[in-house]
Amino acid sequence: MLPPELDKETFLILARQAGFDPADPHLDDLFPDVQLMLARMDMLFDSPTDGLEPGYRSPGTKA
Amino acid sequence: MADVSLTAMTVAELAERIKARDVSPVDVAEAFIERTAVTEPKLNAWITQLPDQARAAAKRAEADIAAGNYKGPLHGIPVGLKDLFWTKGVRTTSGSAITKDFVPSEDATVVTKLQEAGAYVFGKTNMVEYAYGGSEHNEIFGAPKNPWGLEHVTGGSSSGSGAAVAAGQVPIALGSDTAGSVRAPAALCGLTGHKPTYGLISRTGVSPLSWSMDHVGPLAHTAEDVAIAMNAMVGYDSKDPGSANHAPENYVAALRSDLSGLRIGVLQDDFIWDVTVPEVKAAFDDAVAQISALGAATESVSIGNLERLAAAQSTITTAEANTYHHEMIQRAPELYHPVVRRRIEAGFFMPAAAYVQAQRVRALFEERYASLFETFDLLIAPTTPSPAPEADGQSIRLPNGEMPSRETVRITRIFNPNGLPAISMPTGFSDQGLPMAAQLVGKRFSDGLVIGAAHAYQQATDWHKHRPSL
Repeated sequence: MLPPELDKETFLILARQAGFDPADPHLDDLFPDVQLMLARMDMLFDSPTDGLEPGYRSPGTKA
Repeated sequence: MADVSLTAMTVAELAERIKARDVSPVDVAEAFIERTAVTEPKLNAWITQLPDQARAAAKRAEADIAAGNYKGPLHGIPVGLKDLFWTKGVRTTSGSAITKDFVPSEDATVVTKLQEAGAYVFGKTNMVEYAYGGSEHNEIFGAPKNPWGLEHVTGGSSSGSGAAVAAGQVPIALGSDTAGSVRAPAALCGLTGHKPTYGLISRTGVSPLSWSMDHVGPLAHTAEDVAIAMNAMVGYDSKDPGSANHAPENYVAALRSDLSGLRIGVLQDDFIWDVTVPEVKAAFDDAVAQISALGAATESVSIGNLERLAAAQSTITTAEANTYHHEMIQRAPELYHPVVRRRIEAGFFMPAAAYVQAQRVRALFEERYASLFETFDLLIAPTTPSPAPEADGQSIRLPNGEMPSRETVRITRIFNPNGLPAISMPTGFSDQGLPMAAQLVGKRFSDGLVIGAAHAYQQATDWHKHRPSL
């Protein structure tokens, strides 16, 4: 389950764990992109995928 | 003085004249070299030009043909390569400052196959940095300009390939398509561009963006030229884990003159039409009417929930691109284009479950597409929601507001996760004289049908015959 929203404080904690310097002003630019990415993920988890396995099909399989 | 009129010809037209020895491959090479010299200062379509190599290859082709060793319709034809196709001894930059000096020790498999068919590498075309976007060009190489309107974008990420073919600098070029990077520049530059079934064309020696989403494909003037190139490029490659071991098809033989007996689903999803500008819709409606007149039975249909499929495409690409760039972007983040950097870095914050869930959504749409292709032979949709946006803008202006420029691939990206063949073909011009396009989509391995149907449409229309004045 994903967090419904990522606040800046949590983002900075995650950023530090990912190897970023939390004081780097670049993170101010990155934060909205990460929020946008997480918002798209909400849509994925709203999808009716019960009973479905991940769908990376082998090449050569006919649709 | 070269015969520059040759540069307005298609591959098929050039091949006919070369085969008949009405023109020599050397004449062809000189014509494209001269055309490029005149137009390139306006366009910036190339990262690396190879006129000396082109002349040498053309002379070899001329000698081979004179000796009776004509190889087929690509013999003596120059080809542009997006600068992520590995070329032995020639730098392959991927449009990036980081890899600007990378010189591969071997050719990409698809380059070898084209050369075996008699074609030669004319140069390496400009591209969006690491193929990750629609207009994010590295400062070192700059952005190409659209030959139909120099103040407008070409579409990306195979931007230079689109500009070069449209301007007559080369008759055909290769691109790669992860979300629409062949079809969008083809659409915005007035060309025919094909994203083949996933795995049909080898990705060995093609620098990746997203392994499970990357497709190699040609941009040319016509569906016939696409078919000629496909015949040379398709084939199983044991070095490519995604390669499809599929029986080869003769794509030229699959070209058809009508669409009788075909059932074509005309996509009605709000995801598509909520953002598509009226003049693209008008051209699309005319194209559907033409397709009906060619004998196809058309019927409105919706795929449904396409925003979820687009989200899956985006999520998978972010995760795979982050994995590929993982070490490099931590070592030299400042060398990336700022937008590309952020797209890749966002992947550091993606939960593993999201990537897996995106793959489950992919499976969901596998079922949906399979169901649709029980009813329809082909689907049709616009390729891009608008003609080429202006180059300086970050947005596409729409009647109901603005959207980010990356949304030029909004309607193309929905056919990548499931590896479906999709061809973009010109359907008209906007009031500003900019090209517009529609894409025909089929089930996996129906590339012959997809290309053949586009050819039938082009036999009844002349949008693909227009050339920009430069």
